Amino acid sequence: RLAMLATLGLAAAGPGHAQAPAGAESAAAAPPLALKSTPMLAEGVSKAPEDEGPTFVFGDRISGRPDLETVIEGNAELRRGATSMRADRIEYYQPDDQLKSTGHVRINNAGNRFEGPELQLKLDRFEGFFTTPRYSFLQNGGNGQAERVDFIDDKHLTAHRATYTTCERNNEESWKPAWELTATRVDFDLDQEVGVATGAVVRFKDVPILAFPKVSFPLSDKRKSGLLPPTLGLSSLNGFEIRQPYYFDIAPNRDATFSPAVMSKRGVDLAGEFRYLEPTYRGQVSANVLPGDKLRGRDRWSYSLQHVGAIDTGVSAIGGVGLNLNLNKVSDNDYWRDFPLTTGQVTQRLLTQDASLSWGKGYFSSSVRALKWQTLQDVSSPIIPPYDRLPQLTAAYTRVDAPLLGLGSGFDWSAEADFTRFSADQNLTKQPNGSRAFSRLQVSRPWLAPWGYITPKVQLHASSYQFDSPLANGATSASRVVPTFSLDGGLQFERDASYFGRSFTQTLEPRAFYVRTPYRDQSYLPNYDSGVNSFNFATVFTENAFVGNDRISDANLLTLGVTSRLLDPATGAEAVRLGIAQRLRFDDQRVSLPALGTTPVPGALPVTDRVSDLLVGASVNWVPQWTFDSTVQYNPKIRQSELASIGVRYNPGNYRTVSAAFRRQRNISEQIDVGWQWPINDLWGDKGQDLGAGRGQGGGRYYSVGRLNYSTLEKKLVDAVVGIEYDGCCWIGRVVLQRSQNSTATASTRILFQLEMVGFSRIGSSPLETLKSNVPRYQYLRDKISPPSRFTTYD
Amino acid sequence: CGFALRKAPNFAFTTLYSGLAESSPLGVELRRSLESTGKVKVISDARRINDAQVVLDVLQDQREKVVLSLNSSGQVREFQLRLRFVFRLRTLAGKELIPATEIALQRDISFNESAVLAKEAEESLLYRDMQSDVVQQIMRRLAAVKEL
Repeated sequence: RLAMLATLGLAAAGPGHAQAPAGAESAAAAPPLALKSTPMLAEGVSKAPEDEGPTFVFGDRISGRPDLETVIEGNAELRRGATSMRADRIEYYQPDDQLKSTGHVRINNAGNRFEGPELQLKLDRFEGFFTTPRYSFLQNGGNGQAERVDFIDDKHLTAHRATYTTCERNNEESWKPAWELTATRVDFDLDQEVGVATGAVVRFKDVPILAFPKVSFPLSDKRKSGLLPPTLGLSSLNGFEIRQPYYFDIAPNRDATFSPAVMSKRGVDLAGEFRYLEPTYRGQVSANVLPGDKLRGRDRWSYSLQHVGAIDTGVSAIGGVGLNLNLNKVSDNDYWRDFPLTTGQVTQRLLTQDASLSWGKGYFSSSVRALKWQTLQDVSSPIIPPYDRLPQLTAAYTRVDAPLLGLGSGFDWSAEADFTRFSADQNLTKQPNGSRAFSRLQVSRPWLAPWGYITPKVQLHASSYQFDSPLANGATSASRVVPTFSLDGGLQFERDASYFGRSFTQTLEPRAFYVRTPYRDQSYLPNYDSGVNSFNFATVFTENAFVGNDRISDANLLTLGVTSRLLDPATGAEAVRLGIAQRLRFDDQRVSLPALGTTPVPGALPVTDRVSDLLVGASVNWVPQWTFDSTVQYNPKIRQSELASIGVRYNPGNYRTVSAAFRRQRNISEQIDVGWQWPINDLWGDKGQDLGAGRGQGGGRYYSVGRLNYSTLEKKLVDAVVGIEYDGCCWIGRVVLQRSQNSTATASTRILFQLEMVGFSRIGSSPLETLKSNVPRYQYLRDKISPPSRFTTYD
Repeated sequence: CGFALRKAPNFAFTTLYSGLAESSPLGVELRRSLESTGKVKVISDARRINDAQVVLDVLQDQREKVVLSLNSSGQVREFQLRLRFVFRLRTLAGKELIPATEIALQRDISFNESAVLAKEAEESLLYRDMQSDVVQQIMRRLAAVKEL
């Protein structure tokens, strides 16, 4: 700095242009500098060049006295490091490092800009004040004005009687932001990227909508404590509802959300969620309580806990033990109906209490599990409860590509054992509770080659039961041993082919799978965990027609299948896949499932067909924007499909996706399912701007989003969520209409409104979170994006 | 009609580092498939990443279960299981050999509350099936890389 002012003194007259090569003497002693390339301009501002680097000043007139003061007048400009300053007049008093700028003062500090009539600043410490400035921040475009801004240092400042918005200011004097926060005081911490407003009122289109004695808000996309967008709702069930969530950023690996709500017909609902992430475990806890619900005249509550992780036992011979928890409970049977979608459980009437410990070493693995269900009963559609596993103990020893008993190597073999105690309400299940132990031995020897494979496999399934009360035949225990032999083989052919002007590698992959299992009478055994496999390409090549371990189907059958694919030779991507499979049965399958209560279940009848239904599947990904997927189970005898699902999706770019599917289970259900997200402005030819994902497509655009599930058998809309989003650049408005069936006769409908002030409340949360999981490829209008470069606001 | 038995695929590399955890089932299956060709060695120890010629970055490995259909009393009758795997292949120096590529698969599964234990087993069967499918598709894409 000494050097600089000395130079200034010499160049005191005329349009000044001065530079001081600081540390020039020491530089002379150092080795000559070699140029190095850098991929981009340095975004970070290191402190060193600020203190030691040169200061440039420009102006119409520069005057001053060495070591005392410098005065720049007329188009005055001062630059140092990432700071630039322009004003009509800049005075700098060197002894106390005091800078005074007056008249059209503009300062840009690493992309953050301030503009006003007068600034006084200690340049080194960046400490001082600005009178009546306008300001804007680089990170999120937040801007406003204040009566006075006090700089504490270059990362901390306090604005008095200030305004703040993220709406982009234009040059017109009449400009008014769509939303604005006014506060008696705002403390900006640019290091932590948060602002704290005291005595704050938020106005939307000049209407005050929120007021806080003190509130913090983020200055970037980073996770910060703050408000999430509030939601207003209207429904027949809750009446008028307002929910205001607040997000706590506790630590980089921990956060919490607290969201209280007021429902006019019910009371005050308190909901909270806590999430944690550690090197060896992670999880989340959420709970919800509505004391004295006016709707049912009682307290309503729910909780949910998920934890996945490992516990280090500290004993080196044992090592870590895996712990899995999935605990969910609600206060009463009507909970699912009164709080749709709040439990976070996909099966709202069946909640798990599941805890398991697992341990493994080398080829050995074992586990202990306790699983208990909470079944929410409803008189109009009762559920026969599934069995609790209290407890389930398992052990398995699995070898892959290993030697076996002097037969040579290359064997895959395993031995597993399982003991489970099954219990459920016997009045509802109509079969006795009991304990079951089973063991299964499997040995297979795969021969693999690039052109094909063959795998013979033998299995032995032995089980024994102990019942709490006698079976229909008077037995209190039972045992069963079932051997199975299977042979799986396939070939792979290839050729070069060309279709529709595109060349491909076409494959042809025939596969044959033979199973032989002798018949063992199992009809007297209760069914705890077995069910019939759905008929699809995965299950058609398995040995047992049932999943679970209470029924092992007798079989003497051959499954034949062939798959052909078209592969792009340049990328290996699959453009088309066609598959077909069918089962040929040489003997009847006599093992079947018992009926469930009074309702018939699939798989409850013996299978006598010699030739099974035909399974046909096709998927096409000709161009990336289109995907087509279909599976049909065709019954040749009645010349109809038993099961069909056909789906197509068009996804030409960001915020543009449509998917439609038709699904049919003969005589059970037939549904059409449509999901979409599409800009409505497209209708009148306004295609918007392509800003990439997470930025929307420019302001003033409407988007339509939704999912409809229509039953063609019942001619009824079963499930519907439809929404409209408006992107106003610095705010997003949403209206969502949700209708869900909660009994054969009744459906609940609610409408939700949400206003998201972009950059004020944290992004990425909305009542459309359900859409995110329902509409394939739904995208948030604002999502985490990388911050802009400081060079975008270079002055 | 022009079909010939498939020949062993040629890979442009002999060592591959995979970002998949050694314990992840997909990682195990991919490793087995690659090593069974006898032409590629898989490295999964991050400390030995410098021994690998190419790096397979797993950008997303996500499993989802969404409700597909409900009956007229609001009970779930069908789920869709989705597996979305996004990966990228690059050389150790950073040259992109396969840009970020998504393999998305889905399977529908019927559901009934009373049969939830059986459905639990069927679900893991379907996920294993999708996983094998993903591994086969990755293998095809890896084999299509002609040069480093």
